[in-house]
Amino acid sequence: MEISPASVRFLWRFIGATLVYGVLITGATWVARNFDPSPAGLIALSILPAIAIAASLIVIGLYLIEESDEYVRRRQAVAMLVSIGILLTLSTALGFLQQRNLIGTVDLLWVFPAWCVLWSITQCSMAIRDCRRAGNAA
Amino acid sequence: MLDGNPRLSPGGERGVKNRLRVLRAERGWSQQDLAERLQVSRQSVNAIETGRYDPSLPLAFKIADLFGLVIEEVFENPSTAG
Repeated sequence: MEISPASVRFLWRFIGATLVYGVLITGATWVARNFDPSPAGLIALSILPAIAIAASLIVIGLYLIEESDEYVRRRQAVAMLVSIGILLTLSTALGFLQQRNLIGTVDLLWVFPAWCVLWSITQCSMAIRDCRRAGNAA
Repeated sequence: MLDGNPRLSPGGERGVKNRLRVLRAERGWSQQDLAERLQVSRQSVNAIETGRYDPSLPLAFKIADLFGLVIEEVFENPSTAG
């Protein structure tokens, strides 16, 4: 499977944003544990890693703008929508389970990583489906 | 202009029927060759050929131009298909 220039750019940008996220979350946790910040500082430290998540989403948006292959762009958009749908369904179900005290607390900070995993799984599923269909058509 | 089932592609998909595979074969081009000429991925060509994807109007014009044909000679008009 060939990779478009836009995909390569997306990959490097996304890796960069993920590394920044890792640095920010590690740094914020370290500062919060070792320096006893004020409540305002603690709020800032808690929100800081989310900036990297916002950057990741901007990177994804840029990819959709820059991808010149309309079929590939459409597939990615479909994969994103499917994974968002699955994530919303799962998180709503978890919310109801929590409301009825049937499960413990699920940390919301896992939402974005979970979406990334679901997005990847959806893309793999679509690729497998297309391979089967291409095989049937041959 | 087009033979066979007007609604179903070789892959059994319900896209706009087209003659891309035939036109490509007439010129001895592989899917990769056609993809490079159209500046799209091979998956795009495969998806269009098998009816899994209907191209946008600009891409459809680009395909028709590449073969020196008008759009109707490459893609079947679904509203006039039998």
